[in-house]
Amino acid sequence: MKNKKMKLARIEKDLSQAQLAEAVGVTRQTIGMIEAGGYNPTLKLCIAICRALDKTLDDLFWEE
Amino acid sequence: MKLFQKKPKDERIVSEVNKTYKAAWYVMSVGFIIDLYQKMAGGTPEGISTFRYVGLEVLIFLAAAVLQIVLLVRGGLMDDNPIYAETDRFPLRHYLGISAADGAGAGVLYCVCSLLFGADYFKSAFVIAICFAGIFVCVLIGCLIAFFVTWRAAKKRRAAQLAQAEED
Repeated sequence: MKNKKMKLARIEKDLSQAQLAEAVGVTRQTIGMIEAGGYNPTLKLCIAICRALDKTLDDLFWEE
Repeated sequence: MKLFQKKPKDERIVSEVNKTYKAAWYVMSVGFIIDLYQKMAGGTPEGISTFRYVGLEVLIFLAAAVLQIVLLVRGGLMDDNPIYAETDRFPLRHYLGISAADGAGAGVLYCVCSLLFGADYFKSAFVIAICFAGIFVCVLIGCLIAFFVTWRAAKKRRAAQLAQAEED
């Protein structure tokens, strides 16, 4: 399942996939795969992404 | 403050690479058990007495290595080093260095083994130098081509994976 919330939050923050990837210490492809729903990140990476995007885990990774 | 900061690793790449090593390890384990059984039973397996027997260990090692590379490429990865695993540009200098090291290693090993086991043609320094240079160049070119082909295949596979994930 695609993670549109994360993509929107990244765009809101005016960050490219590569910039976010560098901020959280992964490759651009990993960010692409998370946004596309091709990879399920660990809690540690989720937290790092939330911190980089100034969002909470609920904001980005909780499905209603 | 920490004196040495650990560089963060991409958990997805680490997990993918670990899976490939695990599969290769299973192949090696099963292969070595078969090899051990064959040695305990004595003799070579039926049907391979017509040609030179190269040793089951070598075949097992090659099978595990090939399987590991195939699984890496299937996962869209080129290398087990996260820096080069998903690079979009072929890191020529990095792989040229590795290929040169492989070539030099193979050349030195061949020359040392030939000297130790007393090959007749290994009498003059000129012949040794020619042998070393020949092996060095062949292995260097071979490795570089193999790295490039692997990189291209991994890149194609990665693009297909991303397209597939975006489609779903």
